[in-house]
Amino acid sequence: MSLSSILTGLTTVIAPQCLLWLILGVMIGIIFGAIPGLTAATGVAVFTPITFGMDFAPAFGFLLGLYCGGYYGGSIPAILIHTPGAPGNVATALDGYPMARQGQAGRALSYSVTSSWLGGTFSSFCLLIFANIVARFALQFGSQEYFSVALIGLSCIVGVSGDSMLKGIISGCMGMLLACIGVDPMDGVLRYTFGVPAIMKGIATVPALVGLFALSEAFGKSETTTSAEKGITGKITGVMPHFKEYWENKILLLKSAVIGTIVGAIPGTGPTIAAWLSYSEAKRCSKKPEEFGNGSVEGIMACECSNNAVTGGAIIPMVTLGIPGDPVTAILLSALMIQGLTPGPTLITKNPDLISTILWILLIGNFVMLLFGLGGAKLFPKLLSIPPKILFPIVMVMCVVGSYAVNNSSFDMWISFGLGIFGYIMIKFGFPVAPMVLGIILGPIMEPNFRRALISSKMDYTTFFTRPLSCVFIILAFALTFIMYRRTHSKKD
Amino acid sequence: MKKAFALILSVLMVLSLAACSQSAPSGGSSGGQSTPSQSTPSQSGGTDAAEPAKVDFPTKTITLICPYAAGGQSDMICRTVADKMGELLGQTITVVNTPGAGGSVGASQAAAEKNDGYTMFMCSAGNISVVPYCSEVSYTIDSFDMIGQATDTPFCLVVSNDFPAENVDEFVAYVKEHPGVNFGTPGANSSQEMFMHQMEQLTGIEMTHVPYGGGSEVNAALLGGHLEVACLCTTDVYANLKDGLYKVLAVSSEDTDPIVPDAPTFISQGYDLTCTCYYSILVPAGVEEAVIKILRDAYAETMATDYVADAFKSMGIPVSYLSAEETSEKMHKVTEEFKAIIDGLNNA
Repeated sequence: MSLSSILTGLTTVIAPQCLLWLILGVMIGIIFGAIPGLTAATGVAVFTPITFGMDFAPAFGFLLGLYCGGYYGGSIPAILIHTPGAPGNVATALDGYPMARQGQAGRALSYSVTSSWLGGTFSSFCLLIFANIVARFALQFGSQEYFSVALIGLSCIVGVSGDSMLKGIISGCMGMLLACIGVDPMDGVLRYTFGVPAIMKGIATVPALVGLFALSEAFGKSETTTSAEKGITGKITGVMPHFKEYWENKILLLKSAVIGTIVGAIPGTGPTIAAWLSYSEAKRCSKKPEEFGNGSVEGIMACECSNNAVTGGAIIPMVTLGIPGDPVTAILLSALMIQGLTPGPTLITKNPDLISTILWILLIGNFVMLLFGLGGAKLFPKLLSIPPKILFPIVMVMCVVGSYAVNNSSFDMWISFGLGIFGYIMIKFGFPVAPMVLGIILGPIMEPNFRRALISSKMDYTTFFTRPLSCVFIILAFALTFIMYRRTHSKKD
Repeated sequence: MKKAFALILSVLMVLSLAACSQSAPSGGSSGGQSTPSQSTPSQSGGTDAAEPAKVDFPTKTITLICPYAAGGQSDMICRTVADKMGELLGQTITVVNTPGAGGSVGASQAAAEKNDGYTMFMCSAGNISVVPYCSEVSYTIDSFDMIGQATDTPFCLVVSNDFPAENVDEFVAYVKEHPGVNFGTPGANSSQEMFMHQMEQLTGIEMTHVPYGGGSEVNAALLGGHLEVACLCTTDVYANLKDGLYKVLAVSSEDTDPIVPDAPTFISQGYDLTCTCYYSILVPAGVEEAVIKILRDAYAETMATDYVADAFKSMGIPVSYLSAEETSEKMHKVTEEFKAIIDGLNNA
């Protein structure tokens, strides 16, 4: 990549028309990310058709802006109302919401957007410098490796189980069980569908999230809230980021950004796994692991940094191989084709300016997101000054709309509602809901890859250990589980 | 305090507006279910069914159910057709995505909709010709009337570059020597899987099916060296094939396919395999004659426009319009073929 083509990219992107679309994209992205049920993927899908008649730079400025904004936007409701806007922001809710309850919503939002920016910017540079290396590495992932990585994800259950490890495991198993519902991914057999067509697609992630996090919280709140209870008011402080805090956590941020970029580049994964892996890694090496789950700054930084680092990572296989790295890039691929560009290994060699244009779009898009986010960190917490008796009914209405909108399925509303009640009962009896969500998210990755690995190796169970990468991941998963278990237990003694 | 409240209100309004804009198509679809129950009986009562008279159709929004997620290729086909056809009919056609279970969620829903012509459905070979015969779903091919075919793509037999075969003969010979070679497809009960079984039954070879989650996952596995043999549609292979990342031994079209011009057909190599994955527009069975004629004519006109030709070209798929009768004949033929394959598998 020559300097001149990098500068050509810059001049293309800072043209007023492109810049305007980019800013608009980021704005819409943040809104889509922030509404539970609408995700970055929905946003990009809905708006791809309007790029039909546009040039490459404004079209991709708009869509990639949406992409960056969308992955960040989900953290806003996660922090403010315990409702992750998208599956990738679940781990943010674990620490962001407690911080907001302590009256530090502004600070939490500021950490979230600044870390997102750092992660997004880091991965954009990776796209520029390491695209080919990262793409080759991502291709090394076969079914065995997918399974083993998901196993590391499962080890996070130890970290989010709270007081009782047993209850956490039970909750995780129930999640995996729910993930079995629907059409069997390998044989096409119907499981637990009771002849209802709507259940065939299984328990959708977003409605499940909305139910388990937002509705259960709202039900719980309705029990304690009195009509006289006031919202959280008070000065919003700590919005401006302090360089020192981020510098102290530079290793954490770097690790999270690397995890995000690599996970993003692996086809078929996405921000959810990246965020969980970084979260448990952050907890593992934290000096204050007991803060995790009660408003840990490191927790928010780790998740948000890595889930936005996914953006640059996921674009790598898209532009180098024509294979999408996550659900959004799958849609971006068709947007590329609309532009008359054929995705594939020769895309970059034939269009040398493409990468630098994308790089600048991502860099500027992330910066615009930072500005909007910091501005918003001053405003959004005011939402919490609404008295709970008004706020929570509004949240519930949004939840119902959101869970309907994902798949246009009224059945999904009932899933949300049912899981909301179930989550409420779980919390009453001291069962953590986060492991259940992990089960629902990781189940559909683990099962087909486990079975695919076995089928292709003619039912040889050692295949998970004889492949070096897979073996390393499995050892890591066990080591993580063991270390985190020891840490949580020694803390109590 | 007052200022803060006003601000919050405005934020909420923006949020709910954005949410509404997304759920708008669904509002249209639920409207499409309730109103026709009042209007259709009077319409069909007024006209003689044997002699289609003039009907006032369409008078409101039509729904086109796309059984795949928004943003994918099938969704783009739906949106292109919906745009142009709606323009010709003078009514909006909204695309409603009901993804899940390889399209059978959408198919089940479409089959259960009112047959008043206000609900259309885009099917693919997998969910009409395969799923009803290997899974318990509430529809068959007879649950629908045909409007016309949109596109069809032949299947490719893809092998990695170091696979020791350059044509189908060598491939068959190799697999006979090494039974149980893995082959990947985009999913369980997909038309690609059926096609490979058809090939197995024709040539007497035995392979192991490894289903993946979509064409791009199969591509990733092929490029990463985790898979040596796969069956994919031409649209999934053409970019990688052009760059020489794997070989296509044969393509299942009757003549050489313009998307993969260098790949020989199965027929030219002496194998009678000519199956394609079709995408067609259907309506629930039993739509009034006069109404379905309006839809068919509008569809024929839509598919002949430059707008559709350009949009399909940019997606790398052919415009292969077939009339309702031809579509029906083709779909029944493919369905019979696949049914025979499934019966063969069950008896084996």
